[in-house]
Amino acid sequence: MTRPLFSNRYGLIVALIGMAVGTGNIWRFPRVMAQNGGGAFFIPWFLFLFLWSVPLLIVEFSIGQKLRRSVVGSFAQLSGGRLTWMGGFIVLCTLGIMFYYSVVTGWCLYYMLQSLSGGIFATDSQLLWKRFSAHSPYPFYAHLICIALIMAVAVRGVEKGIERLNRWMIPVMTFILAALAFYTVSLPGKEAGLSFVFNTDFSKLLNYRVWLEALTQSAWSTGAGWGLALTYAGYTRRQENPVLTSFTTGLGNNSIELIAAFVIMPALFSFFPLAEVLKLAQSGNTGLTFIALPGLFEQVPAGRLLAISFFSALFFAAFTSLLAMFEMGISFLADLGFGRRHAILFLGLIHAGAGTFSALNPSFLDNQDWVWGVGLLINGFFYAYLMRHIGIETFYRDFMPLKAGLHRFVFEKIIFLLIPLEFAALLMWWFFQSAAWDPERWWHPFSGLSVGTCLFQWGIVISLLLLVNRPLAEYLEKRRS
Amino acid sequence: MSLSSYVYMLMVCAFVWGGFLICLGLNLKNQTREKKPGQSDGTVDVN
Repeated sequence: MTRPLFSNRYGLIVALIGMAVGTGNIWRFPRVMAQNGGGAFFIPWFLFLFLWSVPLLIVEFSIGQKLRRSVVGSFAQLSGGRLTWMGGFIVLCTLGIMFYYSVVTGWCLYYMLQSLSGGIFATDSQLLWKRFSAHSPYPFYAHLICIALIMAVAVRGVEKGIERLNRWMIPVMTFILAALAFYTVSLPGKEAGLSFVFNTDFSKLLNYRVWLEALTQSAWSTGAGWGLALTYAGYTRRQENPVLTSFTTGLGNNSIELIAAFVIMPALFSFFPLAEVLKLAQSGNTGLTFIALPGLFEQVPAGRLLAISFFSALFFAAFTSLLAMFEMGISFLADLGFGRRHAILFLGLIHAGAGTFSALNPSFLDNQDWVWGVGLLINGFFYAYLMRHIGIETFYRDFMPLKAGLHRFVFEKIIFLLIPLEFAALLMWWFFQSAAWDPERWWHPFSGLSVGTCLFQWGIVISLLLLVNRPLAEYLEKRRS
Repeated sequence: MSLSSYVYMLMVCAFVWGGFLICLGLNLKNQTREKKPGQSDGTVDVN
């Protein structure tokens, strides 16, 4: 079987940026920034790009392009089979996100189509969202349509499917967001928004919460530790520089977040006072995106065009990330011996079935978002653990096509010291927050956003993976040889 | 907007967008070199 490959470096770069840039860049970053000190937030946000995301992307990319296997196959090969279960957890965690992310992508698709038809302004935005999300079969249909579209792209292969789609979707998305940013900074009242975004009140940095939120944003938005960069790196035509590629991916991701901040904040401040903007930010990602913004678009000139542009960009961002998750699943099935077409069909059916619960029940989606979102932090730790197993000497000798220098010293300290510390701090902080949200039922395994539900679901997955660790490792090794 | 906010805005944009464009440029510069027949860019073809 011929190995799928990207046609060249540009194809790889746009696919990696498509993988990293998702809805979180557009709807989460401006909201979190607004809640955490505005401009001061940029400092920890920029620092953690280099203290969490980029090092993990370097690890993933280096391993992926050297071994050209799935995440599970790579963990099995590098640990002599012992840590196969860790690779399995990373894959299942990302697939757990994929199962509900197609529902989220479906929301974006629905709102893009509603903007095109003008239906978005026919009803009150709050009522439209409530009707759509809680009392209609449309989220389910949109979820199925998104999976069908993903399968149609994936079946065309890496070069003609994934690469070709990203080659036009990412530049178009960037252009739309940039055009929207130019428009919003020309609105009357934009000064208040820009002043808030770029305020220089650095005393806000004394609040530990600002740092932890910035680290969380970095961990969730760049795709580091998800296994996606490792998968795409396996399709490189030539040996690439993992450091330069990871910097480009990480900075590309943050560039889009910065443009999104220019779009959302001046727009909100043009119509609402500060107190109202902070209240909107409290309403969460969906509240801001699907209720506040459509209401705002209705009031501005050329509002329909703005709505079409905004929801198209949001859909493109979601779709390219969903595609990367789907490809990661295909790569794992290919390691198990599936042909590409069979893998796509099998994964598509599983995806459609597993995502149905999230499509029909928003509380289930929130639960899955919580469990596997926090699970991503474990993924980062597992990569750091794998690196300890490999050893920095071996990594630089066998995986890094660069001579060791000062960057090796810095890289070693970040991977072996800082990432485990960041992981522990974030996990504890999110668990303490969860206990504060629901002090009575924080331990309950079936409570929506509890510590108990995380430990319960991770526990089941890890137990099953430990049970099959040895036979799975042996099977993968047999197939490799 | 105050002067310090303008300066801060310029700095943030320069670091993020400037950093991205430099990295992208370095990537694509090497790619252009690869296309010249017979010229090696120091990388190894994995195939």
